[in-house]
Amino acid sequence: MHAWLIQRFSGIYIGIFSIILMLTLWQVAPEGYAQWVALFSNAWLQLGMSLFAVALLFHAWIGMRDIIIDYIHPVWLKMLILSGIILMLLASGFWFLKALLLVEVIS
Amino acid sequence: MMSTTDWTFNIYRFNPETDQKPTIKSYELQGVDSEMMLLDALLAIKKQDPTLGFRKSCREGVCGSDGMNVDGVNRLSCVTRLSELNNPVEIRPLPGLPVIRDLIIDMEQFYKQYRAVKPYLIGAEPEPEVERLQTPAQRDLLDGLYECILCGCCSTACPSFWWNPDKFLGPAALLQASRFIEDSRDEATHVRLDQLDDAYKLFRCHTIMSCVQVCPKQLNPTRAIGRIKERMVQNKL
Repeated sequence: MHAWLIQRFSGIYIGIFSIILMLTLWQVAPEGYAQWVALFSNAWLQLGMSLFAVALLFHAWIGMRDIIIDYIHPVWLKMLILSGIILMLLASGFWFLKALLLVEVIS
Repeated sequence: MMSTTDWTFNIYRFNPETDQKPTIKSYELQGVDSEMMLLDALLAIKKQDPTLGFRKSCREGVCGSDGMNVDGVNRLSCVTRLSELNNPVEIRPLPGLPVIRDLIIDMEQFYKQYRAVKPYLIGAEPEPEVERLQTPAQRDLLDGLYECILCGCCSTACPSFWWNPDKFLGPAALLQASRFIEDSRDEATHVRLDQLDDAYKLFRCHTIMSCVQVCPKQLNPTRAIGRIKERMVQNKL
């Protein structure tokens, strides 16, 4: 049940934040690297983006896990693929963290 | 106005004891009233070829024994008019369960999942002196749940049940689970909800809604499953 609930709530947050992010980008219309860095050094946007990244990682994990549970039945293969997905998601998470820290350093 | 025409029926034939693989055999019925029920057509075909195997009993959509896949849709042949179908008609057994012979499938897995939800009232002992009473509002909660005839059309139309028939309960059993979870007289609601809370039994449902599309009694297992999830959240909070 927890996975199902997290999937719902993370989906709602991803949907709402995507709209906010698109409206912000449309309104600010940053041009060039410096303006993008300036935009993302805003603390609120950083908080929103961080929550977005966490929600996206959980959402992707539960969704991929659902697909694997449905279709892959040999336990060893299931574990292998799930481990691969965890590694990929962790790498994506660290990549996001790196980008966030980079913005901090530059600004 | 009665319209008669010639009908062709392409029917799945398979006897695991003698056949290597299933075949489709064509049968013709001449001068058939298109308002005839498919079951009556099958009975006429069985007169031509007594080896054709299919289940039937009440012939009025109550017993649920003549579920079959007709032109790709799971239906009860006794409440399906030929006029609703294309000519030629293709008839196969319900998908996803082992075939015993021709249109007869082994429903043991389906019944196993049905038994797993304990489809009976669990009440505190000893039994009360008087009947366990319900208000009309409490009784209304069972509408749309108790009418299931266990024909298996829904569960055998469900892709999640095809992939995990041994672990996912399937729409029919979950509809029954909901029927007893909603029943005010049942005293095992929390136990029932806890038992359903794992990765497979309930949560393999991805709201595909094939069950709703095919149910010959127009029931809505997807809504019942959604209701169980709501009750599960309420139970935990």
